[in-house]
Amino acid sequence: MSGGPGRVLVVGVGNAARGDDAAGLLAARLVRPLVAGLEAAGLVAVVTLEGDLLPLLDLWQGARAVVVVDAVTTGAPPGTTTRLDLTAGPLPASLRAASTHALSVAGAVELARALGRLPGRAILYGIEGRSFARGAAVSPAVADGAARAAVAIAADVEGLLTPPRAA
Amino acid sequence: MATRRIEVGALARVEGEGGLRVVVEGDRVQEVFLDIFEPPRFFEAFLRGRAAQDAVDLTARICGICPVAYQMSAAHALEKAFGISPPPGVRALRRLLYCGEWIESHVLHMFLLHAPDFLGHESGISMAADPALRPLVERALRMKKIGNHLVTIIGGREIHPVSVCIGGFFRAPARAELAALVPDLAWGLENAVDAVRWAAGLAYPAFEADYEFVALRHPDEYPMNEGRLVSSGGLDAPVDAYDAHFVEEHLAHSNALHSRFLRDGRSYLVGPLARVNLNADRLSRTARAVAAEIGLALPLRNPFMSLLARGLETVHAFEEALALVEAYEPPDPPRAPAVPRAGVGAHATEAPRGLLYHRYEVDADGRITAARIVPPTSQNLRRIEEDLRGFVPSILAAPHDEATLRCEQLVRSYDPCISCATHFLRLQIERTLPA
Repeated sequence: MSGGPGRVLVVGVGNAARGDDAAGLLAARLVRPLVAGLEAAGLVAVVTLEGDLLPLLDLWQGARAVVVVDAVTTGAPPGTTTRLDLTAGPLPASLRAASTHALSVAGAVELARALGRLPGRAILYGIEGRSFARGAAVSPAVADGAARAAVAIAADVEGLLTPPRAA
Repeated sequence: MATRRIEVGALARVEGEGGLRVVVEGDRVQEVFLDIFEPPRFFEAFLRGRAAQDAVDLTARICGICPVAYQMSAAHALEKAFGISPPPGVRALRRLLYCGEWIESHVLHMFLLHAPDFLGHESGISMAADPALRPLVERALRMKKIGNHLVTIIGGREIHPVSVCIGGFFRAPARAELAALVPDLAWGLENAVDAVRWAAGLAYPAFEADYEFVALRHPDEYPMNEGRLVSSGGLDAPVDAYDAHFVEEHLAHSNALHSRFLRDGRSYLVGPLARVNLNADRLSRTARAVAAEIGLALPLRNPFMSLLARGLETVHAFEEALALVEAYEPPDPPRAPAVPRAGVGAHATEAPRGLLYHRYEVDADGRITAARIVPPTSQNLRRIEEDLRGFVPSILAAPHDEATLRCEQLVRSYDPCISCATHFLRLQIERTLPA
């Protein structure tokens, strides 16, 4: 389970036991068949991560690029997807605060940035969640959002595998 | 009376499900409410009717930081219910697995979550960006990774391990798999000792409380999987007598249950501070040596010094892991058959943040008919509120931001399980000032 060397890594993050918090895990599962050929060729790896997110730093070590997908709450309608280029600059401070005993995705990203361990290309897909009830399933609108995010991620992955053109 | 309300979004993660509210009138603290959801309550309900082994796998999902603790308490309790004794070697392998989790959890908390409060940084991230502290962060990440690796080798994966079962393990690692970790564990031990020396030099806020410490105590070992329930107030009882000594109650302001002694209604403290105070003589040789070197005076009654206690336990975990790996022979067979029978089993083990009690009733087919899970945070909630009540008067003269930070720092000392899932803690201090 690793991103490198030279691969594009897709990481779905979330909590399978907390309703819409599983959106990132669902999106990663939906991405897999869309990039199956690339994964079989060793160009792409699709993984999921629950709980402690510090292993992200090791997961993406050596990766050409990483796409992280997670549930977010910004006040937008459930299922809304957001794409953020993590290499463009630090995430907003409101997303970065640490909890008492774990790091958020944003925390892991910013820690990696501070340590120079963020891959050269890094993208975050957020899927707006609404209900995080324990034991609940992902709500239909959020599942639709995860499906849309999966299609967008698969397209992103192809772009990330293409070396940037010289100016 | 003029009322000033100040809200501070703190310890944020994804959604707001918990909060800390402190109400101060003049220089008197009127109310302290700590409100934290406790996911295990719902697990207790949906475990009913499921196969016993499901408890071992499902309760691990309660926490992404301490899944091993949930697995250990569940497996031991259900083995008691079924009357099963795991084969020789399983006991040592379970202790080794627990060492991995203690290392992971303690190192994360000490360096990345609690240390920033002492070092004037907003987070472990800003510490990492500080050239002077970056080596400390790098070292912490390497130490934590060793703990993760240990859990991965024994548990099958680093989060929510899958190898633990009633009766032992589904699979025991080969000797060579664990032997490869010896250099890392030796490095970890050396660096854990340095970490204690570093922690001894931190400036701890001057605050002490009159705790009754509660932890397991074993005749020969520092407590992890086994021991009697003991307290600094004289409690000494078998672990399955937990319910005869402690009770949980629902308070109107909180969705979490609060624990107290049945005996006198008093709160109690579980976790690293309690374990070190009650079991210092069972710490590993190096942990005891470094405790002596820094002049550690027991009992520690300053909750902020839980960081130091975690440091000593990290030394212990590395040293014990090293000894267990060097002596390791794969248990063969790796498990005893889990033959169901109707019964009741109760057990507690020492999760990184304190005593974790499980009790199960099972029917003759091995189906769970009742489950009870009392996590350490639930046991400490009452104590955290009492600490805040005692601590806040000493910081009222401080600027609001500083007072807020110190309250957060105190809550963080407990490493409470607020963020097992998608919680966050919002801190609110209301000050009612004389008109």
